[in-house]
Amino acid sequence: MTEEEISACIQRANGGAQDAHRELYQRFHASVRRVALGYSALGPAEVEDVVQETFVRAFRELARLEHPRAFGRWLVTIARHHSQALSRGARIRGRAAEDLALELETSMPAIPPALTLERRVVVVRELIEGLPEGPEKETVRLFYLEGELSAREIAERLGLGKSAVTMRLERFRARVKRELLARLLAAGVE
Amino acid sequence: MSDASRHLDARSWKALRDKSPEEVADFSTHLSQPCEVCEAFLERSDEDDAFGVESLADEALGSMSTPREDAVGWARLRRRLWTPRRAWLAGAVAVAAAAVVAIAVLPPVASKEHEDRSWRLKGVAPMSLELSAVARLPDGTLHAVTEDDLLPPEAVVLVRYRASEVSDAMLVLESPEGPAQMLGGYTLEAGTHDLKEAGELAGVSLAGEHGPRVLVLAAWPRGPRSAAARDAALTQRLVPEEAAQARLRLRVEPGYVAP
Repeated sequence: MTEEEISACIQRANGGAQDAHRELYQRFHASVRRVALGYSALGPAEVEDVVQETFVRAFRELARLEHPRAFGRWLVTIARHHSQALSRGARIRGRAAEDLALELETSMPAIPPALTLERRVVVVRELIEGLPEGPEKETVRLFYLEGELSAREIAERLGLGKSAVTMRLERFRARVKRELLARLLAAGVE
Repeated sequence: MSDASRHLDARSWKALRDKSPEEVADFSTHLSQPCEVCEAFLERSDEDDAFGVESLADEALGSMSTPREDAVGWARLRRRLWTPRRAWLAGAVAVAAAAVVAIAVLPPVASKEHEDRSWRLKGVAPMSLELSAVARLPDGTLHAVTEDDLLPPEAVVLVRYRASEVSDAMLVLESPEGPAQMLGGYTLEAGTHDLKEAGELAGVSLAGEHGPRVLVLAAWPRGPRSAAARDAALTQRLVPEEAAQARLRLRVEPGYVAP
């Protein structure tokens, strides 16, 4: 689905077309789910809740989204906020709903052409390939490239603690952020 | 900066956020190489995501694998978002078995008045379109809907159509009191069929409705611009005259008990 197709789909969804909502859900549910699955504190039911709440919130606020091309980034932002709120623990779990009720940020920073999704995917792939063979690369490969297992399931498969898997994933994610930030700053310099 | 030993911290982050030219230039170079100190800062950072790197990373990371169709998740989401306004029923309900009634046939009108409209479909043969419906009542029985039928708000209206050709269509619920509700876009097959979406019967819940309502099925014969014309109509919340239309008038009365 190209950016133009996504924009057209969002326009149709804003007009009430349910098939457009379905297309958006099928295109983006995996990205949203991957965010939640990275939180080993969340069980399968909570992960599904994150997916559902993210799309409910996004579809209800869709008309307010300023830049349709930022839809994917907007979704994962909602998903991360909700996942964080849920993973903080049962004692403050009730605050998740409260957090979600906060004003939804509908404006996303513009990105330079060097950081289109296609290019970022290439960057991530290169970073994965560049990792030395070993447990970190295996964890990242299982989680992001195979894209089927949760952090919990990977911990079970590799015989590790959940926190160890989460730590590896977060470390790799930080590497991705560092690389993307460098490119963002470079685009600002040019 | 000009100090290779400097790394990201709260102060440099603020300078970057403020677009300090020197900091931006130096860190764009510094961060282009692996740096455990800066990555640790980014990993644990509670600073605001002024650059949007969190979502840039998450979107890219989530796009590394090919998504699978998630029919279960979509069905759950659909129920949450559209119930009670719309309802979808599993294919077990035999709409065809009920004595449905053909309601209307309105082929497209080729008036000169509309020739300049950009979305008008030129040169298409008039198509015939018929709409019929049954209502699933609260007690589970099916009731063949006739023109100006009285229905309770608990009813779900199941739509059946007969189209002379493949077409792009939309379903609309009109009300004299407010704007029309765009219930969604569909593809119609030639012949007589139940209106379906993703393999399930498409139904319209009348919950929350009161008074006269008109169910409208509008269609454009399949062509290079038919889907675009349909989508434009959905976006503009209009039922254009040029579309073939079939209409069914209903009346929703709370407390009504079907005979």
